[in-house]
Amino acid sequence: MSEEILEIKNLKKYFIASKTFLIKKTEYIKAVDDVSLSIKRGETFGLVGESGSGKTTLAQVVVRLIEPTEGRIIFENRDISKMAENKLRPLRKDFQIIFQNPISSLDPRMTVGAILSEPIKTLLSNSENTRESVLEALDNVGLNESFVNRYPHELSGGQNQRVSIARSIITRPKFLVLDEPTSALDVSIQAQIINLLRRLKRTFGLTYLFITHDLGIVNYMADRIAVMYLGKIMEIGNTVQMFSQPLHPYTQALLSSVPVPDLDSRARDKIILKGEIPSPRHIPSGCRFRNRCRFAMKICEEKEPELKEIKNGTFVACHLY
Amino acid sequence: MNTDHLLSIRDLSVRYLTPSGPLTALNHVTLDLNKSEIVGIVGESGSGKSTLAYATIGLLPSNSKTEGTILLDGENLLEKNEREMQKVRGSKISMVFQDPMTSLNPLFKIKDQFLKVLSTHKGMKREEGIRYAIKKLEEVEMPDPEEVLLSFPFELSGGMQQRVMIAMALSSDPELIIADEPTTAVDATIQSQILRLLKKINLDRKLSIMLITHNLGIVAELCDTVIIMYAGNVVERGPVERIFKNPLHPYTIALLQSVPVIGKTNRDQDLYAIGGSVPDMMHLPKGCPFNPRCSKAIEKCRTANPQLIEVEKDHYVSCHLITRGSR
Repeated sequence: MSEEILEIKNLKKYFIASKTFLIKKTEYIKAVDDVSLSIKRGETFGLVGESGSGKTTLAQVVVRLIEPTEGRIIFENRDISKMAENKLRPLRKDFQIIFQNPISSLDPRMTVGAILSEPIKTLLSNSENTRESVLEALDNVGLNESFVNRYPHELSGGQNQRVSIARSIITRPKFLVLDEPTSALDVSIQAQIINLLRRLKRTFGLTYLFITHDLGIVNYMADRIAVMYLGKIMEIGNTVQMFSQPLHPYTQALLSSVPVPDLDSRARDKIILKGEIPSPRHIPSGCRFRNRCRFAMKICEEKEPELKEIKNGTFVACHLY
Repeated sequence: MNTDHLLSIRDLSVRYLTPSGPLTALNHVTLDLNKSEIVGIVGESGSGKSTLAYATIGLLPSNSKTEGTILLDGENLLEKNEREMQKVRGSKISMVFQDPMTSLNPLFKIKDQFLKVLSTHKGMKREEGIRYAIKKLEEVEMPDPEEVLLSFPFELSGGMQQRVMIAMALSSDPELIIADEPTTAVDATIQSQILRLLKKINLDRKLSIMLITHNLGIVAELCDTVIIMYAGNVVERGPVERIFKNPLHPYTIALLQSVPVIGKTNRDQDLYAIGGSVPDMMHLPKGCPFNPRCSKAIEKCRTANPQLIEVEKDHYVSCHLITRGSR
């Protein structure tokens, strides 16, 4: 068994933006633009970025909910990037995804029991002990038997998210993509779900790709973090190291932008970026962050910096290094 | 009555008459807001923080019943009729909503929407209005104000739309701005820009801000005082320094502990989590609304809802376990 559970190589996902009869030229939205990374077995890999950074697209490509445009996705030594759905299906039990909004990701017309039985029927060959598996999965997420016959609308947001977590672990996957799993929840419920996810990871030896815009949460959850901006990775590194010494100017600004619920941080000087995130249809030439960067130089306009290893395990895409 | 207070809310209760029965959204809320003060109203879903905002600006739906007083500059807003309230909204109070995309009309250019505000509330003609609008957009540090005026809302980013909303809110030179989760719909780096802008407006204009938020980080950074709400009740209020240093209500303590703080929270330990979930407002528990989730609840908590008492100067707590002088 290799150390890496998932490897992404030069992954691209372009969406066609406009093709009108007047403008013959096809315009592309480069949602994910040449991303490479690898996730080690058993780690929690955090992926952070603002809107338009491509983090959700990347998540959906990785579990093949959408097709990549180019590049390779290697899951447990098998390239799944171009694999046909009938070949892919038997593998799907090993990698699952949990979405941000539990209400819209659960079918309102199905009971919790039916929702949880579905992956067993479709992804597992043996569906004899469905009921036992359902009850066990409910128990694993802290819900009791009484939930089996209830509908999503009868449950609170936190309970629905527990159901959707139960659905994704019922096939005993090895790898879970968590796309903003707590963003739609109240603060007091968020802590419950975070603790639950940490417990499940320990119990089942899971590997997580954890996507969020909440830097407090990612700092707490992740072992390593990748920072994305407009479809590209700006920095990858160990969590503790990145938070103590962010290297990319974007990472520095992003970390500094977090309002901290702590009086000691009140007086600190914040780095406030100028301008807005450009539209992914009009990505700046050279380094895509340069028009908001405090340190932008001539070369940043001309040449796109490559992601290179600055020190052990820390990769940065910036001409400063 | 203390005349320093711009806004003085006393025993404000709001009930909604719903098809399935009455629902108490606010239960005897009392608060004061001074001139040029920023107060943060914090709470989870159902806490009543938005109802408080809408009651203050007089925009509650017609199925609501309001009791108590809301004094603004000494005048009780609850005694005013709709016409008079419209005047107040056009001169003394403005509101900035959470989602700028849904508060701007998608069919009209920013210019038309801005001019409508200015002609309604200030009686301004076109030429004068445009000059004035440009000045306001400059005040909110909008690049290219002329260009922005000619744009439709969808052509602007979320951050720019929110700046337009703030510029419009400022155009009546209000004394109070109510901002309902003004940065929840925008990105982190844009959030810092908007928060800095709100602070600048607060300082430049000596303007008071009522900031509704669920983000304790924003409160710590921006606010002077904070009000913690739970299920329609104020459970704790006081100066930000005191509440963050010495939170007293079990809910406030739990809330502060349940958010991971970079550099402070131990990554090897579980987060502190409050058990259970936010109560159903139709079926509130007897006694203190927090008692079923409170680890310190005693018998009394299950029978009587505690009063909000001043435990130290300006620091109010509503909990049976906290008495005057407990710190």
